[in-house]
Amino acid sequence: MRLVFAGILVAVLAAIVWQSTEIRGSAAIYPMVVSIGALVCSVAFLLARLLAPAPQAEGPMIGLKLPAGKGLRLAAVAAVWLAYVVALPYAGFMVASWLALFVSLAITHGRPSLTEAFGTLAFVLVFAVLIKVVLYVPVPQAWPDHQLDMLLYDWL
Amino acid sequence: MWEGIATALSALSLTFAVLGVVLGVIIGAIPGLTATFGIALLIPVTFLMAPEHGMIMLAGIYAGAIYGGSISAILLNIPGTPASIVSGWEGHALARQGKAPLALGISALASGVGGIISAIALMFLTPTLAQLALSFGAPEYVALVVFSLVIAVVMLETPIFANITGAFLGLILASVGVDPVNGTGRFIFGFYQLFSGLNVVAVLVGFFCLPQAIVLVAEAITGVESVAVGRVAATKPREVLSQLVKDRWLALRASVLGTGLGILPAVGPESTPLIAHTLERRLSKEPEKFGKGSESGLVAAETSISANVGGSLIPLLALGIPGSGAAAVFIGALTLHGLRPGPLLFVERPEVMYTFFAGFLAVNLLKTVIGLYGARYLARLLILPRGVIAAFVIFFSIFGAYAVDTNLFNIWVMFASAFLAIGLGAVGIPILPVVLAFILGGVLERNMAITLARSDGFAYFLERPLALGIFAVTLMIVVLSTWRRLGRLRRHKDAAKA
Repeated sequence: MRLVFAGILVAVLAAIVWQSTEIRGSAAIYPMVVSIGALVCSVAFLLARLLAPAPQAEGPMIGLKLPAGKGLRLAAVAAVWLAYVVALPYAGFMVASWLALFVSLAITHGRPSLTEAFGTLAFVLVFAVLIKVVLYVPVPQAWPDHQLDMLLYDWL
Repeated sequence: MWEGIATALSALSLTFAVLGVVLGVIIGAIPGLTATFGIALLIPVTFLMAPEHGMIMLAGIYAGAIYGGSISAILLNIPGTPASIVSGWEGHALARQGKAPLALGISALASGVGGIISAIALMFLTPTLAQLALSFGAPEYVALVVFSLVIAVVMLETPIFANITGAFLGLILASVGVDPVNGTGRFIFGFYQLFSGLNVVAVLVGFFCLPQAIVLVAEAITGVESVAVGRVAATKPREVLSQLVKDRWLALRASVLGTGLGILPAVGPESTPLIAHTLERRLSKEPEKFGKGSESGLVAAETSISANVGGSLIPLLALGIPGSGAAAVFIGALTLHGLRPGPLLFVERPEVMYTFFAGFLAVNLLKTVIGLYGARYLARLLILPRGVIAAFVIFFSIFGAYAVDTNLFNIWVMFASAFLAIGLGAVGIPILPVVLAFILGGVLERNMAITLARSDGFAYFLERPLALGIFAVTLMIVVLSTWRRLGRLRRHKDAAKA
């Protein structure tokens, strides 16, 4: 995993250095210095790190070793939330948020539960009302969101 | 000033202060969730508030979370935040001796004392420093930003090349978007949304909230759910007070040390209690008790951590330079409210500043009261299942990143930042220099361009003694740090040979 991340980091930094060479004139100096500095230092550090016998990583995910099946569940939770962002403009805030919360909890706990289904539904409903009457954040809308708008409009 | 104090003591301000402290204590008490995380997650919520109310609430979260980390450290020996490790050594040892209420009480009162002393320092040092900073021009700002980044690079215990790489990465992130001088787009990679740069809140939420949420999901999947907390008896305030009176000079020393270390960039609340604890053990008449349930050790740790919070806000408000990761996230909140951290804040919005100062003092008083009388109840929240916390943290992170300027693209920026934070962690590059450089990169580049346009060689710097002085101090720090690291390397080699 460490090698994969190191490879990605160097590749992205190389792409950034390449982009900075595309900039013309004096505007290129600062980005070029910064990106070359990052590339050189990262390569030096990563080489030293890869040659070192006992790596000491620090990130939040380090030391977290999941068995294969459980790693798949973690990936599934991540996929649910990525899909949530993609689905938001089409499914609307309420449906997408409820599904994402419920499915994410079901995967995390290994089984769907009625309590979680109704609990998340109640939370999303309350939060959607709060968004419309207190927070005033324009969220992506679909049919249920419009219905809630109409209901609140009539009621208020 | 009086107007500001009156606003800070209004019912609305105090409500936000209480809300901030309670939320902060809850966030801090839950292992894995940090103060930086709490501030980053709740910045979008403050968008609806007046700037001073938002700042008071975030200060409440900051101070509350740093204190809250000690509750789980004392009761379960699981530090809620990395700052509470020392509190766990002393506090949990006391709890095992049946003195959990006393330990929780000392933690609350000592934390309050440290916070109040740092709030007083914040009140008096910040305007003085800001006054001095008003005479700063572009070269002084360049010198100051370079100084801050160098401090962050040399002070962190991680390998120096890792820290430098982190700082460079932060500068790259800060330079995404339109060039401030020529108007050229940089590092856009075909995304027109990046012309205005990376959204600070989205990046910070990605750095600090999502990786923690993923850890919580992973822990929940592997079966680490909630923790069991038994009933804790009520604290006796008189007993706690008498301990604090006994350790009054220790508390004062640790508070001054904590505030001083807080002012330095990169010396956050994580390392401060270790330094204060070591110092007090050397000065103590009973050093053998330290680490085994010493009340004085707990006082030293708690006062210094709490004082560090106020200290880290001094350079942030006076110079626009954050003293810790959490203070760096604070900048995101200020910019969201249209406030530019730095000396001009005192000229443009003095009422906000004075309200914040008084509010920060109130936050620390409230934190003490809530801690003394409510810690044992708030500890019950530790039973919340991790899977549920994680799902809602991810949901609110996404909502927060989106709500800042109702732009779905920010969510992808947040995901990318989270991926970057996880990747950097995996290869061993610390996130703090990245955040500091990301926050300060714009200031550095703008002022560097102005300095270069005005200067006609090195002689220009001779007319700027302050900038020259800061550069000289920076150089001295680099030399000293290199000397120290080389010495350490030599000792390691000698030890290996032997």
